[in-house]
Amino acid sequence: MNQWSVRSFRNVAVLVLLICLCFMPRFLNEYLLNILIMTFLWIMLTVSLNFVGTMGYISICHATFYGIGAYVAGILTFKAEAPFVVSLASGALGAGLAGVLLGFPAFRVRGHYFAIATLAFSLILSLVFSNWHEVTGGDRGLTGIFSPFLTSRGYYFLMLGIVVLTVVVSHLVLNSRLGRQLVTIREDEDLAQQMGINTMQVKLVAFGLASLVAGLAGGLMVHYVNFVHPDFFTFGYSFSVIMGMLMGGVGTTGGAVLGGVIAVGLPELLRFTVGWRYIVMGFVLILVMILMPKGIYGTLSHSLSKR
Amino acid sequence: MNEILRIEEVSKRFGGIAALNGASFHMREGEVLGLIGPNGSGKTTVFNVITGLYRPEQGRIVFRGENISGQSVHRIARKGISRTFQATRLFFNLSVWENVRTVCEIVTRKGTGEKIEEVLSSVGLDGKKEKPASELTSAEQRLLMICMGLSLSPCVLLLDEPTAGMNAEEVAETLRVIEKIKGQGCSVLLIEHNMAAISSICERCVVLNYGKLIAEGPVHEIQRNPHVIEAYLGKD
Repeated sequence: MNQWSVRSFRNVAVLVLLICLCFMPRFLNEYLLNILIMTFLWIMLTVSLNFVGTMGYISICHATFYGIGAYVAGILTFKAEAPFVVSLASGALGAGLAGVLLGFPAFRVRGHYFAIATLAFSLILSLVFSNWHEVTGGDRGLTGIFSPFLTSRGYYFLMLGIVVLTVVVSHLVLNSRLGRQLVTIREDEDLAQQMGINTMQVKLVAFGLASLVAGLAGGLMVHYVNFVHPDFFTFGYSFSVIMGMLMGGVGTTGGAVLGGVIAVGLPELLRFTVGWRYIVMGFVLILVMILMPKGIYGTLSHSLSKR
Repeated sequence: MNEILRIEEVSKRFGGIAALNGASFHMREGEVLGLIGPNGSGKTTVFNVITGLYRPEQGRIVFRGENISGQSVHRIARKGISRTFQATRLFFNLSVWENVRTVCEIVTRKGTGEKIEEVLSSVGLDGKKEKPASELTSAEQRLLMICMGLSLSPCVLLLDEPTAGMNAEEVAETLRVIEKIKGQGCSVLLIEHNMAAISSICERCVVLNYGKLIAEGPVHEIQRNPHVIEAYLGKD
């Protein structure tokens, strides 16, 4: 298949998928609708983490930004009775700001050192979420946060709209000047600097954008489940986002979307394995990494374009 | 010719080793200046100090009358000083076109395509733009490095052993490219061990040894300079 046919095939597939998703709530029960809403949230997480992954960095605190967004939105709604849109925007901006503030010191180091710095941030924030009782509710969390929609169906369409927007933004970013600069940072950061790219600025923009979208997802989550608890944002969740991103394929929006679907869908599909679920998931991840180092989407689109 | 770049009493140490020890010289607009010296004399360190990769401990770098020492790497590059490396460094997984595009986009927001075509054809790589950089021959990769340097529309281009590992034909082609760059008014600072290449293309030459300038002047004079001969061959 040539490049044009691959692109047309992909566009048609996306269109069909979107039409199906619009009609889906008519045929699905509450449980499956809930799974789809959670999938949308995870797509937002993998797509946003992909901005960081595209430049060759691994961040182990993505669930923490998700948590910051959730707590800011939750606290504003719970304690200040802020409107839905205000709490969502504040959660996203709070997480985005936290990302930029963390990025300043953390991006002074590279590779594994950066990953460790983000892990440390994740551990610190986990302790803050669990122990700052007056603000976060501590280990009891915050309950009774209102949802703007009475039914899951309403929330489903809101989430669908936001996910489509996130995916479009991601596609535009990755195919823009900024996106190409992210790739050069992954390829050779020192060379990128020598070629006039302000790598620190590019990394901060990408990290800020990634944390902003994660924070938005957190705010959406808290208004959906009407509850926020520190256990939702441990670094184990960050690893799940990383796992999804790697399995889908780093560097493309399609790969990140597939990663979000896998991160929610795979554990659901493996429910029958009961206690073995995470062991099986680990094996699946190892297999994908060995057989498809570019991720499932990366490998499939590569082999399609080669035909 | 006006002076474009001046290195003033620049020193840089790595632990107990003085890579540069009060080195001073200058470049004129539109000239090709040779920078030679035995291995370990500090030639590449000069490039690293000029481009901001290393901050000099003493002295300063003056570019078009402005002290640029201590400025960040990308800022110096955007001011108009670009470079190539001794070991080939490219975005190997990207195509030739993509390699050049990422750099062109820094200086040209509109008409990037035309600019890319122009710089690619100036080094003769316009027929290979779809190829991944990793699949080019060694000589083509070195030309692509020059091409990327040119994409920033520099006033000063620093070339670190551009003909290393090339056969005679490829050396001649590279020298033709450098002549063309000079013809466009760009100054070139050239590190090279191939003295035939230096004498065919450079009007002047500066010689470093142990981080110090030991000679400066026209190439034919440098070749007869006793300090230079001693630096390369040692004393009797």
